[in-house]
Amino acid sequence: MRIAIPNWMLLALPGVAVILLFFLWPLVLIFAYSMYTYDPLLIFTRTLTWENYVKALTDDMYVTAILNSFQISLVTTIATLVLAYPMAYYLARIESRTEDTIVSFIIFAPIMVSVVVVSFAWVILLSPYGTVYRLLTAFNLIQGPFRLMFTKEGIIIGLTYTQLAYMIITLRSSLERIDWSVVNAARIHGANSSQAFRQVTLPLSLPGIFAGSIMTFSLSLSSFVTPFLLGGRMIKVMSVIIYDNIVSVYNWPLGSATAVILFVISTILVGLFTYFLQKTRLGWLRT
Amino acid sequence: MTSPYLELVDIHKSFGNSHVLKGVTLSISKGEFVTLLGPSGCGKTTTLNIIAGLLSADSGEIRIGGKEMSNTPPHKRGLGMVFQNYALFPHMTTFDNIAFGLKFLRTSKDEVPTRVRRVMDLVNLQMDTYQARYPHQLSGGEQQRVSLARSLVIEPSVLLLDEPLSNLDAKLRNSMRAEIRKIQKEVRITTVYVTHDQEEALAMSDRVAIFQNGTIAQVASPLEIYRRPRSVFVADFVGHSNFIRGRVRDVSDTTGTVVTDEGLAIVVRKTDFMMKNEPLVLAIRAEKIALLDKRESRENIFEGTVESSLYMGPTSRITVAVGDLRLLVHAGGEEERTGKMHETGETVYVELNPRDILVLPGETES
Repeated sequence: MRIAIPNWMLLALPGVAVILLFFLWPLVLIFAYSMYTYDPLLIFTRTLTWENYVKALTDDMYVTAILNSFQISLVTTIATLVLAYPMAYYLARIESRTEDTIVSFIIFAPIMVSVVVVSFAWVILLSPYGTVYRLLTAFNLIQGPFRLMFTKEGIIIGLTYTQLAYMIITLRSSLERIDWSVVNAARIHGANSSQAFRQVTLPLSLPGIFAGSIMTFSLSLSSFVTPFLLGGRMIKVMSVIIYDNIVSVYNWPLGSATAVILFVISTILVGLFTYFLQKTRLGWLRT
Repeated sequence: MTSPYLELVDIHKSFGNSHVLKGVTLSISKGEFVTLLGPSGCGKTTTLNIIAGLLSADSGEIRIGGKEMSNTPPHKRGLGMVFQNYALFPHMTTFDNIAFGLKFLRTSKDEVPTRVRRVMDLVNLQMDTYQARYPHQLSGGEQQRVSLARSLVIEPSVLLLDEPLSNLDAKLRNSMRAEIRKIQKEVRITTVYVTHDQEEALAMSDRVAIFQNGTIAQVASPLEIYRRPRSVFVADFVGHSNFIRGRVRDVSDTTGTVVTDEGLAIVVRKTDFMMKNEPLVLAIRAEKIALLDKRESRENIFEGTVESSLYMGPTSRITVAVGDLRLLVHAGGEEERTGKMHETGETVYVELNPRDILVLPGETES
C-alpha cells in the first residue's frame, strides 16, 4: 500500500536534511571527540575516557569560565530587557509611519553592521584613555584610573548593545498584539496608569519578555566575538576557551567536552525556564 | 425632568484636520438610559471616550453629579464601561476579571466574593460554573455578561456601553437587549449607550440622541424621534420614509398646499416655518401610506402604477409611481384579508393623509 505523504512534509525535507547533516551529525561527532583521549601528537586517540569532563568541571580556569559565562549572560539579559522594554513600548504605540520608519532604522542599524566592527568600536570607546573615559573625566564624574576593557562589565556593555535590537523586535511584536481596549478597561475600572501597566500590560507582554530573554540569554552564552575582543585574555568565558582549545592548543577532546557542557547546561536551563513559565504564568494563553 | 446628572457642554474635538465633534451638548438625568445613535464616524464613540476620560476634549465641559471632570483621569471618574470587543483581561479568571475594580476601592477581603456573587446573579452567570474560567473559555454572550458584571460591581455613577451587542448573533442580541435594559432599571444606573442600530436604540432607551456629523441633530424619547423627527436626516435614519421635495403654493389658517418638484399638489397641516414659495421636504413613512382600489373624495389621493411588489409576510413592500414620483409603501394585512396581491403594472390610488405627513424645513446641508 502506498503511504500518503502530505506535500508540506515533502517541502520540509530539504531543510530537515540540512539540519540532520550539518547540525545533528557534527553534534554527534563532538560528543564522540569529548570522550576520546588527548594526544599531543595525534590530537586524539580513540580510547574512551571521562578525563576531559573531569578536567572541564574541576579545573579552576574552566569552572571560572563556566561561572563567568552564566553571570555575563544573565546580567546582559536583564540589562537588555530593562533597556529594550520602554523602547519597544514606544515603538508599539507609534502612530505615524514616518516616525516608525526613522526610529526603527536607528534601532536596527547596529545589527546590519558586522558584530566584529561593532565590538571594535566598543574597544575604542571603552579603552583606558578612550572616549568614555574622556567624557567621564571631562564632567568630573570619575577621577583616577579607569577600567572597562578586559572586565566583565565591558563585555556586558558590548553584549547588551548587540542584543538590544533583537530584544526590541521580540518585545514590540508581543506588545503590538495587546488589545489596548483591555488596558483602557483597567483604567476606567479604577487602576491608575502604573497599576494598569503592572496588572495588565506587563502580564500580557510576558510571552515577549520570555521569548526575548531566552533568545538574549542563549545568544550571549554562545557569543564569541564580543567577549573575545572586549575580554581579551583576562576574562575567560566558555566560548573563548572552546576556541582556544580547538584552534590554538589543538586539544580537541577537552574543547569538545567543554562544548558539550555548555550545550547541556544551556539546553537544560532554557528548557526548564520555558517549562515553568508555560506551566505557571502562561496558563491563560490560547494554545 | 429632574436635574441633570451627566452634562456635556459644547464639546469640541479634532483629530488632525478632521473636526469630529462640533459642539456636543447633552444633559442626562440620574437613572436615565440615553443612547447615542448615528452612522459610523458621526462622533458618538468619540463622545463616549471623552466621557470616560480616554480622550480629552479640545474645549467644553463634562460634569458628573455637578463636578467638572475634564481634568480628572479615567480611574477617578467612578465609571463603568462595557466595550464592543468585551475587553476582558485574558490572563485573569472570570472571578478576577469581575473583582478587578474592587481592589482599588479598598473593599474588605470578605466582602469581595459577596459582591462578585451579587453581580454574577444580576447578569445571570452561575458563580460556581463560571468563576474559574478564563475569557477564552467563554462564549461571546458569556464574555459580554462578565464584562457587564465587571462594570457593575464597582457601582459606578455612570455606565457606558460602546456597541456592546454588535459582535453577537441576531438572536442573542435581541435577548441581551431586553436583559441589559432590565438590569439597568433594576439598579437604576445612569447609562450612556452607543449604537448604530436604530432598532436597538428605539427598543432600549429613555431618550435617543441622534448624531449627525459631530453634532446632535435631535434628542428625544424613541416615540418622539419616530413620530416627530426634526430633520430629514433624523427621519431618514429611523425607519423607512418617503421624502418629497417641493415649494409652498399657498398657506391658510390650518393647512398649506405644497407643489412637489414632480408637480403634485399635496395638502399638509400648517407649520410655523411654512411661508409662500419656501422650499420644504415632506416626509411620510412607508407604513402610513394607504393603497386604495378606487378614487375616493378625500384630499391627497393620487393615481399611480405599481412598479414592484415584494411580499414579506407581515408587510408587502410596494413601489408605486405617481407620475415621476416614486413612493415606497409598506402595506400591511390587506393582502391577507383580500387574498389578492398587488401586481406590477396595476393601477392603484395612494392616499397621503395630511395627519401623517411631516413637514420638514428644506435641507440646507446634507
